[in-house]
Amino acid sequence: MFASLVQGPLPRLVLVGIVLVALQQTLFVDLRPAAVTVQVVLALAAAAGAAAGPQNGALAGFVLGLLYDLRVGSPLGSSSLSMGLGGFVAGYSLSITVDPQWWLAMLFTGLGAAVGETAVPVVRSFIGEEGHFTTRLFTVVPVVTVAAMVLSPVFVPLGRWCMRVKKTDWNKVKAPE
Amino acid sequence: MSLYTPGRRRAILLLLLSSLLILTIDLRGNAIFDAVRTGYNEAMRPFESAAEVIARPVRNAWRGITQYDDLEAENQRLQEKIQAQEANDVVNRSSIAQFYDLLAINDLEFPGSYQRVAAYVVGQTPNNLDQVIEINKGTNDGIREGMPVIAPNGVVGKVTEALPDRSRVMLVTDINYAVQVKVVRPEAPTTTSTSTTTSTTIPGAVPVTAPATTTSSTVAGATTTAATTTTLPDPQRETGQMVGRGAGEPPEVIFVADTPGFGEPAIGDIVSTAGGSVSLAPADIPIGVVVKIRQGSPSEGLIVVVRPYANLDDLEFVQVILYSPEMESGGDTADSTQPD
Repeated sequence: MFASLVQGPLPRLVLVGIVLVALQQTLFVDLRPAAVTVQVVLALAAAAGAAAGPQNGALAGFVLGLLYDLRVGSPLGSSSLSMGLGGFVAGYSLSITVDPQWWLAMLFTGLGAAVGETAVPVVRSFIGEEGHFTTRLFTVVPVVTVAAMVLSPVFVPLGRWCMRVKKTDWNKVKAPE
Repeated sequence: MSLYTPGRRRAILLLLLSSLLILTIDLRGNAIFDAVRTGYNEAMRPFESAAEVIARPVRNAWRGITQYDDLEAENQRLQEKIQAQEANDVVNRSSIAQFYDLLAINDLEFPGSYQRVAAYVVGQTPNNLDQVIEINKGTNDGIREGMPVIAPNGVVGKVTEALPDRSRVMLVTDINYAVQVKVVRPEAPTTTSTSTTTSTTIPGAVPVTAPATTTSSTVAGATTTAATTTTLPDPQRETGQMVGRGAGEPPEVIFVADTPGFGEPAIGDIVSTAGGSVSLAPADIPIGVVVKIRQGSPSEGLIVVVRPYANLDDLEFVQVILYSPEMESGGDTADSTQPD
């Protein structure tokens, strides 16, 4: 069991997640386009989904969400839900294509990030925090989405590496005889 | 291979249920989770220090690009403001001294009589919902959860989580923030006339006459009697509860007490903490100024919109008032949270 844990995606995911949470906590709280904080951790969860499918996306979102909640002080598990959903949706979008081009992966990442960011106030309202549904969401969600799309050329390969998924090399796939 | 098999569905369901379970346990309060959180925060320190090294030049470049014009305009505005304030400084110092003397004479507390801890703002929440900052002082300096946090010009928020050497502060704009406040009509400067009988009157104030005090002294065989009659400064005021409304939205005062005798709040009125035995903040700390008043539903009554004095977007230094309400401190006068 220990071997499967070490050889699985968890160590890489935690390592990359810690670095990203640190950057989120320092660098990205100041780089605020349109007064919105870019969600890099959510972007990685969505990119992992876009690169490795819904199950891996949900797993990445779950783990990254826990790391995020532990540091930020938000209710533990709330970001796991929203990021897990973001990763799942990005991964589920893969069903429309076998091997998405970079621009499709970018779209999927953006979609996952949008769903994840929209899910945050939904989850918060489920746990009794009201008042998060404001018109500001119409600014926050697009900015987070665009930022995730911009980051996707870096984050999709990173997500693939974290989840230990190799990109399909079509040159090595034999054509049916 | 199918993209969405029953096995995968089970795995995703398991993750969902795990999240819900963790969330439920954490919301009910769990010592293990708290310990893990504290340990994780400690473990993150080196990573954040390293990230800060990377972040600083990037942040400076970003600010240089996006805020140069704003800074220039603000610099000009501040220069003019400083010149105006310097002229008022001497007069204000005198008024403050008189105010403290009056409070001391009447044996009243004032916010300045509580111990404070100055702290540096080291971070802020990275999500787009919560309005939380992090400061570099914690329980080692006497800070406890619930203590009020102020900037030089007004209330900033309250401590919601105190670690040994760090604390999280919920800003007044956070939707979970609430504090009892009073809305006070600013009055014209106090006029004091002194004669054999000294009287202090605030124009427009509700006349409440305190018991007259008589001081007698004997000088060279002659007896001089000085009677002091004080009209207590009690301008029009309303009480209510101020709640945050999230980022970019000014806080509002709700449940405004209906006291027709004192009149209704007006734009320009000052909002300050109400204090009291259960309030988390001592009385009379300024919070902001009324900028808008609207009529809510019949059950809501008046809703007063407040612009905080403190610039919550650009906080660098804050002070934590080491205050806990009488109910929590148990009335122990030796407690450090009691006035000096």
